[in-house]
Amino acid sequence: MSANAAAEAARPYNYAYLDEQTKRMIRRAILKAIAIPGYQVPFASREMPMPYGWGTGGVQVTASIIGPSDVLKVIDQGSDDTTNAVSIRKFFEKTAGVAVTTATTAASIIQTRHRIPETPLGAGQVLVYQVPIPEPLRFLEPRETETRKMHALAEYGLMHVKLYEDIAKHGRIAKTYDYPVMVGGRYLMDPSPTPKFDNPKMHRSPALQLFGAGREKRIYAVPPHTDVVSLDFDDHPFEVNKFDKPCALCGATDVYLDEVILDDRGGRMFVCSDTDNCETRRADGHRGELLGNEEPRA
Amino acid sequence: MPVEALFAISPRPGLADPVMQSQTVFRTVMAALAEPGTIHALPETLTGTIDAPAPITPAAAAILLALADYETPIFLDEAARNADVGAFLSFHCGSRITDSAGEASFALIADPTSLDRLDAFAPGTLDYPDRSTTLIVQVAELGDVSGEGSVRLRLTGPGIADTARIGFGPVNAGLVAALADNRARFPQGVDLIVTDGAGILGLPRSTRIEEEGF
Repeated sequence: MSANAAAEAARPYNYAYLDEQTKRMIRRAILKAIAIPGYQVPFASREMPMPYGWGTGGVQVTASIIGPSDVLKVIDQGSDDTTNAVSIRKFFEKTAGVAVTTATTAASIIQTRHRIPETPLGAGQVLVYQVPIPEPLRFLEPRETETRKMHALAEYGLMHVKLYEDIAKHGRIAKTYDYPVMVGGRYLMDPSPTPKFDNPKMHRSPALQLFGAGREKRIYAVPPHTDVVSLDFDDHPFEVNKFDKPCALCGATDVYLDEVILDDRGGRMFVCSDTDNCETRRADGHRGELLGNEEPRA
Repeated sequence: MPVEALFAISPRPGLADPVMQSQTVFRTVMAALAEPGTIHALPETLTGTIDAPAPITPAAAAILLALADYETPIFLDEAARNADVGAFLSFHCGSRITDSAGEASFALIADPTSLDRLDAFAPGTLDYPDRSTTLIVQVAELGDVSGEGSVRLRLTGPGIADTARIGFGPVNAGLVAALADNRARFPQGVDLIVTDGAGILGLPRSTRIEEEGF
């Protein structure tokens, strides 16, 4: 018996939790999703040992691709340290025996809930998104039969009308997250509820992006170097969120910030949502307002 | 029937470590389809252990053993259609071997010189373009080609930073035109996994293909 087989026999359940038939089914769905960028492939989503809404889709995708040589990073709203991220990371440490990390650059698979890391991803990395509602048209057209027809015919006028109505009502496109994108010039896609700040990072990313929606039973993908264009109008071009202040801890200006309430007298700070990016910058000597505003010594 | 007689007709062994080796094969195929034009190699430690019946190459066998099961009918081209291959695949994968290319999830093409069209395979529907055939095409040479009947292609599209150049063959003279027609049907169409026995090249339907001269 090889060492591998011995470890296998000692394990109370299959490698990476899912049974092999389920993995094959999900793997085939992933391959078709890659071949048809932006198209939502239906798959037979399984019950997972966590409730829907906690990332069952992303977990099933990760479980189907992960191997012992992978290094896994899990983030929840940019943070490596929140409950969802910690428990999913532990789940794969236990069931797949993989190394885990919080460093974006060290990871081969990054499972994410609603953020894309600030550090640009590289070739060979896989970003797995947890998706609640994969259908970008769902809140405009509740019938699956109709939205499927719209995708079949690339008939996306409804979404343009919705964005136009935003402009008519608010003077601008009011969507700040879940901002619809066109993938490869063909499929309208929901980037999952990432802030629209992250949309430009998807465009022609060298990393493979996989999306798993467990409750809605859909898998979709954006291969590397694929066009991902946020919908807009010539006279109302797409713009990312802007922040008035830099990060209070690391002084970064070009990143997505979370607002943190500090006391009950209106005190607040804005701080990097990407904890790894913030920690790396602080380790490099960058200081924000709350830490003394020093710039690194030359 | 004595046990010895059962051994005599039993198919050859499949993957030695199905769980871990399937994962390796899948990740290689996933990388190949995500980056068309780049050859991704299966480790020698894996292909070296596979003893599939002729004419299936170790890589093609590994792909089917990793991805096919009772949900995926397999079509065999004329060169691959023999009792040993059928017994090997139906025993290890549990797949039904089908005569109809149009209902196959996977198609094994052992002799691509007779593959002149792709429209007999399932292209999926506009509503469900994923319900389409994946062709596993065995070629003699992959990468730098010189041989008679091989093609050199220039690839663009998803997964390719700028342009990729790749050759393989020998294949049927009509295949490049068939691949262009396949791209024109997008999002319907078939996806190709081209293999020379160890290396794997993905040609998903999203890839635009032009032939280059020698």
